[in-house]
Amino acid sequence: MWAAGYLLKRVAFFFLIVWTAATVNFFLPRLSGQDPIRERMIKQVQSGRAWGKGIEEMVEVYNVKFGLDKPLWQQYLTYLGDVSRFDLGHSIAFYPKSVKEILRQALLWTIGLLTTTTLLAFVFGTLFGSLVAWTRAPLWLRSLAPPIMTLAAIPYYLLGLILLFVFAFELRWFPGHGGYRIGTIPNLSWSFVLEAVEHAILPALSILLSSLGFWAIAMRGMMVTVEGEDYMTLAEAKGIKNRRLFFDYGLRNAILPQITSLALAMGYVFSGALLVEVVFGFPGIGTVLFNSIKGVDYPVIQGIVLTIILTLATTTLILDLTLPMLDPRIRRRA
Amino acid sequence: MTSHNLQVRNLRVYYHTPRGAVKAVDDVSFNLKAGERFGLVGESGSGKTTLVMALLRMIKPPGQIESGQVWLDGQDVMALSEEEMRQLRLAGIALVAQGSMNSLNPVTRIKRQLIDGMKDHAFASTEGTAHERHGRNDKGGKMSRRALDAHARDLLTRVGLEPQVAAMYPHELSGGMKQRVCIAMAISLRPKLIIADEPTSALDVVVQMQVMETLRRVQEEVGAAVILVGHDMGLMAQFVERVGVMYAGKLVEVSPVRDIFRRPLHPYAQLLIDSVPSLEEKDDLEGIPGLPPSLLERPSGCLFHPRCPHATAACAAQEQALQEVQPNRWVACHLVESIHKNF
Repeated sequence: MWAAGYLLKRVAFFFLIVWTAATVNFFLPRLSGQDPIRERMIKQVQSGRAWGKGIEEMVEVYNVKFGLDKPLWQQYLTYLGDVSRFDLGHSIAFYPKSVKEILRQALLWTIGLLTTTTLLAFVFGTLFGSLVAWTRAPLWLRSLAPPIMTLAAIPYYLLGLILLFVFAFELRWFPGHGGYRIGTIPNLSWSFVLEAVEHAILPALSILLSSLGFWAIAMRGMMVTVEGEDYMTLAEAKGIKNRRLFFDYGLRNAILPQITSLALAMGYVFSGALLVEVVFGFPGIGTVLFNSIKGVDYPVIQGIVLTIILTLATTTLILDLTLPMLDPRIRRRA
Repeated sequence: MTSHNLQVRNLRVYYHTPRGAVKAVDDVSFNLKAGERFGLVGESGSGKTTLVMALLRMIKPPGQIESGQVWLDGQDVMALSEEEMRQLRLAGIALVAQGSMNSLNPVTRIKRQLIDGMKDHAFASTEGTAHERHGRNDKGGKMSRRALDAHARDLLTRVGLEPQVAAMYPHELSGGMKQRVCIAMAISLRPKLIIADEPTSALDVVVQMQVMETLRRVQEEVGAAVILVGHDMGLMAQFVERVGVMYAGKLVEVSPVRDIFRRPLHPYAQLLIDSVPSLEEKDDLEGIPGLPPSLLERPSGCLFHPRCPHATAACAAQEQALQEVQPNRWVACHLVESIHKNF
């Protein structure tokens, strides 16, 4: 009953978001009024890599090749067609490598690093935050609150630098750079996986430690609010066991806003932890984004932005579909 | 001693604030017979809710039960361990809470909320706790899932709800239905005492009466005593047998409800009853002059003397303890005899 209509509405909303974002992604660079090919040619001439003669002809040829001579609406339709096939064109900096190829390589690293850390931080941060707020929790646990909250206040890239200095340079326990050893060719053997994990530990730790506190603080606030609710008082008066009181009544209600945050956080997984990746030279999407901004590699930047939008829209869709199962009150409104 | 179901002796509950101890419940004593309906009235902040929460031992810091004894069917409630106390809640003393609108967990079905309390009482962790003799079905031991389901449906029917309500969520119920669910929960283990803390404050008068009727019916079936907390004197008159009037943390009068309406003995009870609007007489509504005292800086002597129309020098100097001035009528006032000449 509610489900079919709701589902349809949500899926339609998903496509609306992606379409809007793709459109903005198309028009925004063109609003700058720059002529990318002419400017690139002029740059090449200035740096002495091309002759000044015949530039106009070359610009024209390239414009035809890239379809830039066509009217805007035709370009737009071509673009939409490409996007729907997830054809993102070619990188300028690494021509003729396709943007898709570059993204695929980088995404694997980023997803591996960030999905794990985001999920771990969510689970432990949420549990920890709710226990800190729980008046019946053991004192040693509650006294852990200040240090973890302090960690949350340190930016994760700064934490990364500290970890890098202590564990990679001073103690030499972990490698300090890259996703694998120089000279290793990425493959699917156990030894390579181990090597990758070894390289990922420090970046993962810096993200984990700082985001743990973020989840904990949010959850603690929610739990304190929930503990003051009438249903908590009645539940206690019902003489139910502490464990049930904590999970079924406290956590179960306090976690709802956390789920929303998790969906958003998962959406940002694909944008990469830019600064951590740069600090650790991790071959993820953050590093790629960093380099392509430096190198004015528009297709790659656009590709990454589109990927982020796509994943955000997807996680929002998943959230919209799961939240009614967790919170029956949403079903009525939907 | 055993003719009473509940005995409360010299109960004191203080809230410890940086500015000193707030004496929310101060030296309160009263008895309840089995199956008796007892009303607890008084202004907001007079300590009614604190008193009943202390009976459940659910006072949260900075509040603390300072001293006193509570006996339920010969069992020393204050001496129980935390786990024994948990077992006593619902099975021995059940609560129908204030603010029925938010008393149910919004994200789980009614059935689950009806059952979970019973589940956690299914095992007898200590021998001889009150719930062992009551509660559960006759077989004893853990109730099967099917038995629990059937019991939940039965409970809902007994409070006048359709069994289908079990599959619903709280937001799908009206205020009156929610409060019925709460009553169903309260009687699920056949407690000896039901505490109803302003159970109908969020409901309109028609639903109020229906809910109170339901409470009375199931209470009689189960044979539990009831403490009804509230400030609706009209509701008290219809529901309870005896009334305790609280003022600033103290019981100032305990009398049968008919007597207290006919002739209240304590001046505060007098003013309280005079403030109830009457259908017969068209008068200006009378309030009680002044404000209740701050529980931090309490007046000397009788706490009511600054507002009392009869106060004398003796009232400001010395406090009068609650005493039985007539059979079954307890009052804490120096002037009972002088105010009520034909004693």
